[in-house]
Amino acid sequence: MIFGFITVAVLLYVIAIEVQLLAVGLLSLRQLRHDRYLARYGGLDEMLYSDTTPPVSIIVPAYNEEAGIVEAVRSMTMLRYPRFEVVVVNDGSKDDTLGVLVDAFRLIEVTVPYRRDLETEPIRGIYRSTLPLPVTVVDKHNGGKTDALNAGVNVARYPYVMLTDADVVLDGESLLRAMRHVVEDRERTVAVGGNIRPINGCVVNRGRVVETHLPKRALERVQVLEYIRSFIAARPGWSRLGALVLVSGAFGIYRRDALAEVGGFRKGHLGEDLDLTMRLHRLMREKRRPYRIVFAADAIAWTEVPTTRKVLRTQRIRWHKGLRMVVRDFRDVLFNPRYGTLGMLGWPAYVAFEFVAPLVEFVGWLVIPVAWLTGYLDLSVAVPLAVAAFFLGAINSLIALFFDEAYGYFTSPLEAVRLLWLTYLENLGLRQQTVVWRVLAMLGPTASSWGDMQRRGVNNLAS
Amino acid sequence: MNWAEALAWITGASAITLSIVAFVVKVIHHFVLRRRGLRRALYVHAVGEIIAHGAIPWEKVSGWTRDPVFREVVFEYVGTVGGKERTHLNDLIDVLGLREFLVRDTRSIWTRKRLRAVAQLAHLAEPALELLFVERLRDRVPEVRLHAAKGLARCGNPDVVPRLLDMTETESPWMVARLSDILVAFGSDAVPYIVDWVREAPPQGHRPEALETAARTLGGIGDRSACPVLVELLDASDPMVRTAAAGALGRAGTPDAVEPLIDALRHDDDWRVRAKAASSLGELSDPRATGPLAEALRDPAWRVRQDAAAALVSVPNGIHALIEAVTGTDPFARDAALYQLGISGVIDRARRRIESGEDAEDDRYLLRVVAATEPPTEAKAS
Repeated sequence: MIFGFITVAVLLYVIAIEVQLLAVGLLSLRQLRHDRYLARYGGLDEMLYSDTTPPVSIIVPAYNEEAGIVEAVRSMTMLRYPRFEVVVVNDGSKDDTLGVLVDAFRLIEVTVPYRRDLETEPIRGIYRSTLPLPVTVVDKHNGGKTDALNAGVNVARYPYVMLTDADVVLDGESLLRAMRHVVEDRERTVAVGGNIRPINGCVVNRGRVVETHLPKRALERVQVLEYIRSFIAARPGWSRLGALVLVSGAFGIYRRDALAEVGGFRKGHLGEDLDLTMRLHRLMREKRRPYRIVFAADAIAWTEVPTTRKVLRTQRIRWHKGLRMVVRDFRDVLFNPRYGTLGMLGWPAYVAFEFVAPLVEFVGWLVIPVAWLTGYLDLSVAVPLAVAAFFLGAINSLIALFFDEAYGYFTSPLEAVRLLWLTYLENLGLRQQTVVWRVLAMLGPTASSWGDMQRRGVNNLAS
Repeated sequence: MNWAEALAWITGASAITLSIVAFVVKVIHHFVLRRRGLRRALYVHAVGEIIAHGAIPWEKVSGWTRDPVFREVVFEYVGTVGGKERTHLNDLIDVLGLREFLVRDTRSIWTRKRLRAVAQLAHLAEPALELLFVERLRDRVPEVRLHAAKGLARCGNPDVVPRLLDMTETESPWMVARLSDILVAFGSDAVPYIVDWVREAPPQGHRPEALETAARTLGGIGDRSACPVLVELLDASDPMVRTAAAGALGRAGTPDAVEPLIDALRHDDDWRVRAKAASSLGELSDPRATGPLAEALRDPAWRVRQDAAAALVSVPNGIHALIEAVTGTDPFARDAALYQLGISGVIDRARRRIESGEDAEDDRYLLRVVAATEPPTEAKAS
């Protein structure tokens, strides 16, 4: 009886996931087509010469980023955008991050007061480039990534801030494409999320991705597939519904006054970007202000993903612990009609299919041997269901790959075969190990460190 | 076969079919992109040769007309070449009948075809196409309307300016922003039309967004004959219109605009208007503005204080007013002044002069004042 109930419950759960993926996927497809059309005919280039294009402060927190910070900042200064500044926040690095920046951009210390809208660790000095480059460096005591971002927001001069990471390589037009959404509706747009893609395996020249290839290791390739599923097949759809839950920390544009009003990032939060997006939703809903938080699929930022199992494990555990904290803090949003599509659709789906999904899958693995030992497992049903689950996993990835075709990456026949093979391979152990890590994160203590990610520098990623 | 087995078969067959289709699509896409790239390279080279030498190898190029990549390349050249080469390019367009071909496409039921045709014709900037562009201003697709407006701007006939301004009454913010850029491209010729359009409002009045666009456009053009109407707009009921007018007066203002701007800086309820008025007073560099700008350093709004401080750098005796503000008792004024002296490089230049021994008494005084000042304690942004 109990096993029958569990079987039906799991089946219903899987059906719900698939229906959600399909519905959101169709909306995503519509949005992607619309974005592509606008990018071609929507007069994007005119934004470059227009007085109506708002200036942006790009904030880059840096902690022990001596190896790649100069290249990263240089690539940011080459963005196609009419007016912007790059604010690098050196968060008390132990290496020579500040020194290499001073040398490369001929920085001099300047006396510049700043707004203290957000509480941060003390700032030791502010430096400006004497070259004709809009680079500002803030040197401060160590306080963690969120503290560095808050300090950057304080020092930012422009009404919009773009928050990114030091290891991110931005496409030349990414800022322009993302800011199109702001110009479209300046009054209501409080945040715009960009599309993050793994840079591993790609060829980078002078701070730009010039060739896209799949990474060599299966562990990294699986992450390519995960990013495509999340950023191409899901977020555009949720954005269209007005229920975007997450603006990624690697590429997020915010209205500065909204960010200051919401109190910036919470110090030490493990899911700081998710937490910030949800707090922005809450602030706007509670103040009954019309607003929108949107996703720009054609604004692409490339980031390095973990190359070893150990680092990936730390990252996934941290992400899921962060999600756990946010789920706890925003439980009142669940099925709350005051939050509109976010409360009734977006957030419940995120909790059910991102947060709870690993637990459901894990319980399923436990139930199968127990049912088998107690003689309740009907192999004529269980085996075909396992096979169906395996193929469904592949179908979800394949649909995402179809959507991704619009961008024209990985088109060589050999890479196409590798990518397609991966959609099956992923379900034979690689996905399951992620499930285990996420369950560990759900059951373990909340406190956790960020962990160290060994960076290779953006120019050495093809190896 | 039970239901679970049926499900497994269905999902398995679907996955394998999808994989095969995905592979075929990827391979086709790969070759299509390559072929397209090769065709494009060929056309770029061929059209370049044709317009350089003026000889059209008719038998070769006649077959290319229907290829959208070829048309794309031809119209890219339209935007980049001039003189004799442009004449040769026009000959090529005439001989191949590209203009007629595209004019036909502008009435196509297919949005993409229509859009591409209007966008490419817009490059030609030919007065004969004006009527067609005016007709396309009523297209149901906003991007077609946008390219038609661009075409009209390139034709340069300012008679269409009121029509484009009328569009700002109904279009989306994105379109309004683009229309504003298009209107600026008309230059000074458009100013009398914009002024008349603002003054000859319909009974229900213009939509605030449209008036704001008109004001911003006048600022973008920067023609001083627009000054009186911009001064009138400083009294508009909508704060965004007043803000745009105040901002535009920085570029299009005359000395007559100084007093109204000072009045806006002192008395307007909206901080955005006061901030723009401060910036514009800085751009006009009129000595009458120094006192009011120094007063504005104590404005309750952060932005106004900052913009007033920035403006003081540009007006006569402004630096002196900033230094006085640093020594004053008002913490807001002190912080704004200190900020501006910092970012405008005044403090750093004084420090370097002292280090190199070329200092004046003022430099030492300034650094003494700065050193004696507490670090800025700026309050929350307004």
